[in-house]
Amino acid sequence: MLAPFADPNPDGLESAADEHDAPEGQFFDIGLFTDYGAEGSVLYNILGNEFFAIIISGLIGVSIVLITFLIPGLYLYKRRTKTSSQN
Amino acid sequence: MHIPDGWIDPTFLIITWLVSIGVLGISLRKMRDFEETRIAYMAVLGGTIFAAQMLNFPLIGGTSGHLLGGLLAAAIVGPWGAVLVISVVLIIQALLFADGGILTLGANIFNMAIIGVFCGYSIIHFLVFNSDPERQKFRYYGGIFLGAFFSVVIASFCAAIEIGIPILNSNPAIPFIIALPAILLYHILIGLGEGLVTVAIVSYFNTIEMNVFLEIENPSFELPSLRRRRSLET
Repeated sequence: MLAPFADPNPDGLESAADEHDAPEGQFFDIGLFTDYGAEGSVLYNILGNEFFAIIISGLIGVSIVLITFLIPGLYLYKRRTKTSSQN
Repeated sequence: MHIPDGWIDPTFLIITWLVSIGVLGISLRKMRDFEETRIAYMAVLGGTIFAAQMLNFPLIGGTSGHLLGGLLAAAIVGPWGAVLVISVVLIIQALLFADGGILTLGANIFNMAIIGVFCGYSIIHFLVFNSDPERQKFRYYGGIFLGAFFSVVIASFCAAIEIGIPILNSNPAIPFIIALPAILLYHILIGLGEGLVTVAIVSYFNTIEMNVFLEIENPSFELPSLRRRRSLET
């Protein structure tokens, strides 16, 4: 929720690169949530509001990370309960 | 500290991918032995660190920084769990949010999830694990601060080497002699911020007596030097 108020300036690595005219790095981008919903991303184009696009892209990211750990966690939990009930 | 594609020499790309895949494989094997609480904490930590990395704080000269969270994760779920937490955050950031390159993902995992986590963990292993937060406040919180600080600075040092030293590619994005001081200067400041934020979080949980620091209470990993010393003693 606080992400739209984060400092928009480049981070340490980007600043060091800008100062020394390093070429812009190429990156693969599917465009859905580019730069966490910043202008130009698909999410921004749908919502038309950067403030909400950043919040929603952050919530989506947090949810994906949670699910990534909860699925193997549940699998391990079920496997252990199954093994202990067999013993 | 997310390195974009096209900045790293192919030699470093290959080395960092190989090391990262190896360490992630070991971490996944270790995860099978984790108790349920540790895995639940990993999920919550992953979400928290992802959100925290979106909150850039201002530094000098129009530059910003954000929490990396490697030391915090290592103090809660141990180094192997922390490697997985930070790696998952980095993979999702690279694939969905165009934060850091896909080809350089191995290097980003190597710097932030492996070097950052294990350097910070080594420091708290020596300073924090056997100290009491009530009676040895300076040592306990000093250890947390130093662990968090060096986890950022040493990771950025590795990034400067990967970006600045040409092996196959004779034309680095930024020459090492320029990359090292420029990158280190900003990351020393980011490291100070990381240290202060980590100390504040640890101190908050200790104040409300909520015992979330599973690894500090019950270390799951022993550094080789300590293991050798202990085997000599016995």
